[in-house]
Amino acid sequence: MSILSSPVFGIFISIVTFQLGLMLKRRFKNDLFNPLLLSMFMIIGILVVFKIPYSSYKVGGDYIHFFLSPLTVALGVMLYRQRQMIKHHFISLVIGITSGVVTSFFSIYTLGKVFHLNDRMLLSALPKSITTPMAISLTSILGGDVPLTIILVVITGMSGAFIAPFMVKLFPNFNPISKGIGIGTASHAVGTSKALELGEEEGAFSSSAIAIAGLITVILVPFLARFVGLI
Amino acid sequence: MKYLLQLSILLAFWLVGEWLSQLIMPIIVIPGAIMGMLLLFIALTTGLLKESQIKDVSDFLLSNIAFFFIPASVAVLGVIDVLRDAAIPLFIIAIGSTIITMFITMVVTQLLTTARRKL
Repeated sequence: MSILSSPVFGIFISIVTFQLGLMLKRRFKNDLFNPLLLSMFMIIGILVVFKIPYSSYKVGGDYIHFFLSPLTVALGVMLYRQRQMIKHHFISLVIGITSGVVTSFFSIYTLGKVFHLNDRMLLSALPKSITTPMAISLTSILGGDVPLTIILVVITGMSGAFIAPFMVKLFPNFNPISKGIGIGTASHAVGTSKALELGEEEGAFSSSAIAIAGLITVILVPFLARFVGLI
Repeated sequence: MKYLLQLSILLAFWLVGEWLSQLIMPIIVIPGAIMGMLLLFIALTTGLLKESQIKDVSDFLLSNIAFFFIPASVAVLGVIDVLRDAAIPLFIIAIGSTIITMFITMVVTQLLTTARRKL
C-alpha cells in the first residue's frame, strides 16, 4: 500500500469527492447538499472503511491546504471590486457590521456558558460567522480547534441561507442595505448566495459584508475574548 | 507563464504580510495572510498594481474556494471524541447565534441608514 504514502492519494480523493459533491448539489438543487460537507464525509468514510490512517491523507491534503493563504490574499481583489459601494456607505457599513460582530461574540459566549461548553470549544466557535480562511486564522490566534471552526462556519452559512428569507419577510420595510449587511455579516458567502436570490442590491451589500465582517472580527474578537477572560 | 506570475504576486503579498504581521505583533495580532489581503487592497486602490495582473489566479482561487477547505475539515477526525458530547449544544449555538446576529445587524443598519437620511 505504498501509494498511500504518496501525496497523490490525498489530492486525488479530495478532487474526486468534491466533484461528486458538486454533482449532487446540482442534481438536488438543495442548500443541504453542501459540496464541502459532502466531500468531508466521503473522505472520512473512505479513511474509516479502508482503515487508512489520517496521516496518509494529510500528506496530500497539506498541498491543498497551502493555498488557503494566497486565497485569503485574493479576497483583497473582492474588496477592491466593491470599493465604490463601500466608500459610499462607509459609516453604515462599519457600524452596522461591528454591531453584528459584537452580537455574534456575546450570543456565542452566553449560549456557550448556558450549555457549559469548555473554553477551547467556545474559542473555536467564536469565528463561526466569518469566511472560512479568515476564521481559520482567527481560531489559530485564539487557540481553538481549526476543524471544529470549519464545521461551525459551514453550519452557520447553511442556517443563515435558510433563515434569510424569513428574516427579510419579518422586516418588509427595510432597505436592501440593511438586509444585505445583516445576511452577509451573520452568514458570510453561503448566506450571500441566498441574498443574491433576494435581490441584486441585497447580494452586493451582503458580499461586501463578508470581507469587512471578517476583518472587524479578526481585530475585535481577540480583545473581547481577553475582556471576558477566555484567553 | 501568466498564471505563475500572478500566483507569485499573491505569494509576494502574503510574504510581506507575514513579515509586517510579526512586526506589529506586540501591538495587535493580525494574521499574515489577512495583512497580505489589506496590502493587496491598498496596492490596487493606489494603482500600484492593476487588477489584470492578478485577476486570473485570484478568480480561480475565489471560485473554487470551498475546495481548499477540505483538508482542514477532514482534520475533524482528530477532535471527534470531544465533539461527541457537545455536538447538539454546538449545533444549537451555531444556529441560535446566527439568527440573533442577523436580526441585530439588520435592525442597527436600518436605524443607521434612515437616521443618516434624515440629517
